[in-house]
Amino acid sequence: MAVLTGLFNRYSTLIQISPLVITLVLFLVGPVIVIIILSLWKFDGFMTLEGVWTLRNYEKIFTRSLTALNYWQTLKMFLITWGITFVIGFTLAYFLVFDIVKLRTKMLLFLLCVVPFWTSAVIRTVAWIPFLGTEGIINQAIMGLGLSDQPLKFLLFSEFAVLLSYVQIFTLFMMAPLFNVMARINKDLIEAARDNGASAFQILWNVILPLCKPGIAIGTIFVIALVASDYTAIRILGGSRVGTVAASMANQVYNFQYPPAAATAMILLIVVLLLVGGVMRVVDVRRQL
Amino acid sequence: MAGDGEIVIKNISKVFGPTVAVEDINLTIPDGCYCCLLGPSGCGKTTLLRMIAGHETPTEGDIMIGGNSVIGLPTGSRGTSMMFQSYALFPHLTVLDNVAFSLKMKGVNKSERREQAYDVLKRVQLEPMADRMPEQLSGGQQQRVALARSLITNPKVLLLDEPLSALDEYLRLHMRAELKFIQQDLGISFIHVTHTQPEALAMGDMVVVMDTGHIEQAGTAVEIYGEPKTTYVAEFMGGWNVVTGTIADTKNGETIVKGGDGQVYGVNVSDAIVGKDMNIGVRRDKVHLNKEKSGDVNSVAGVVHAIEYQGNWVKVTIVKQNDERLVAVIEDHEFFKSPAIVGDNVHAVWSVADGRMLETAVGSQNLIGESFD
Repeated sequence: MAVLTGLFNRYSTLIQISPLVITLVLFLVGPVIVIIILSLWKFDGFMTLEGVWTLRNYEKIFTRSLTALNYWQTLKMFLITWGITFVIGFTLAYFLVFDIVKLRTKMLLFLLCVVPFWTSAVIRTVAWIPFLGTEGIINQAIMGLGLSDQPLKFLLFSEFAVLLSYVQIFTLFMMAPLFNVMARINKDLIEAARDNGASAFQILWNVILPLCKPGIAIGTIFVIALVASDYTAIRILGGSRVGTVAASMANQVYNFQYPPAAATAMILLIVVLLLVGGVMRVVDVRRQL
Repeated sequence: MAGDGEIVIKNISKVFGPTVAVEDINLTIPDGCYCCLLGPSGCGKTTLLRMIAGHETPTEGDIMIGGNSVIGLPTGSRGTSMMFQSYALFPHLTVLDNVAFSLKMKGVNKSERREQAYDVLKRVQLEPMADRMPEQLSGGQQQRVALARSLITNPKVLLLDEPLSALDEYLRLHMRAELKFIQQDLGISFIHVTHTQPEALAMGDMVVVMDTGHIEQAGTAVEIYGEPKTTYVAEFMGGWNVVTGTIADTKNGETIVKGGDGQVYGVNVSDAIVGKDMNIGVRRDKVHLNKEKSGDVNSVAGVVHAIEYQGNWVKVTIVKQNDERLVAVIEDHEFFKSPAIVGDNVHAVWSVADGRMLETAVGSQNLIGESFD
């Protein structure tokens, strides 16, 4: 017994952190190591040659022109999604924090925003098809009203459809951290600004927006990660017209080109980490956590 | 500038849902006056201040600053500036930029507004802190930044919401003197909300005692402390004992009042009506202790309940036979001539001339028997 107690005291810190360490090793570090190994194995165009080490997979990524195109498309999708989710998320958070007085109403409306998450990502995405299709509700309404004599083709299987589903789902990830930081703004600050002669817009620009920076940063990190990793929406709604990095990686996996896919994944991971690091550098996020 | 900062409050009321925060208040605060709004929490003093600043809109009535009605005028254009209890410094701006904030809103260019802000910071001796963030400053320094941020707007009236309540005792006394000095130096009106009586007495040229949305009494500090009108003011300001009874007799300008416990009090009031109730106040320092009953009036039997030595005076609490309390404040050398001890039977005695008739309080709070010090 005494030996056990002694051991426990000696290694108590290790024992206490072990659940987290085990989880991280099993589900994060382990898989990443597997992918790294895989990305260094040779791929001859048809087969993976296990245990034959090469940097050819990475070399290919940096030499073919498709890579730049894929990254450009990913960046474009991110920028548009970020812009729209930020405007909507900020407006919603502002409305909930400053315009709704009752806490009950606040919480109720916040919960309403979570409703789309009650179903799976695939169903949520598929559900857009009957809306946006050639025979879909929107096109029928437009033609019924006589606004157009033929269905709008850009609605479905297009960049537009993918962006629409991104905005629908990712707005919450932008709004929640913004709501969190905004709710912590001392209301006296807004009165003090008004007392100092600031107009409503000046208060927004000079007080609320700067104080929301950590929330904007966290929301941005979410949107970066979500856009960079999504391929469901692209597969279902993109109609092979949208070629992001994740989509090209998914294609490689479907074609059993595992080593090139693994190399693409590693590069994407590094790029996303650099972006997240950049955001954290600009804004002190920790103060809000 | 003279006369610009005069504030006239006419029949102001403020209702929040079912709650009446301020009810039909009339008050004139002269220009260049240090005015203290004094009352317990929930008495409406902060609401009144916020209505002057424009952070609340009165339900009824008018507020005039320098002769012009300011109802409907936006906050920040009334010639007022408010200092918040929480200081409300912008946490994302440096001390200098906090002070320069109002100039930035007006569109003054960066170098000019920083120069002006620096000058104001010098006035509150904080220029070495100009580049710090507010969270790096102590409470007292943060308050001085808030003061500087208000002063840079050149207000006609500075509104201070419990400015000293977050400071420790030493800083509080220090800031008290500093605020008063700045007010006299600038010659503008300060309206200072507080719930601390000594603060109001020490700082106010004018003290306004409030309770449950009403003004109980407004006047100089000497008037408020020395000549309270109502039982509420006497009890709230401390330093007074209040006794009540029914008027039994009146002769030669002296009124005899019989308390419920059979005590007989005399007071110099000539127009009393026999049979009516009357409140009498007597200052604690006018009450003496006797071992024996002395005279027919103003000699109240009781038991010494507590003795507090306070240096140059001694505070003695006596419990009367009806369980009400009286407090005598006795100079130390007098007390130690024949010191009482807890449990002694004594008589609290005062002269007829020291009694003062008090009206029953306007507000709903009955403070009789409560102590505020």
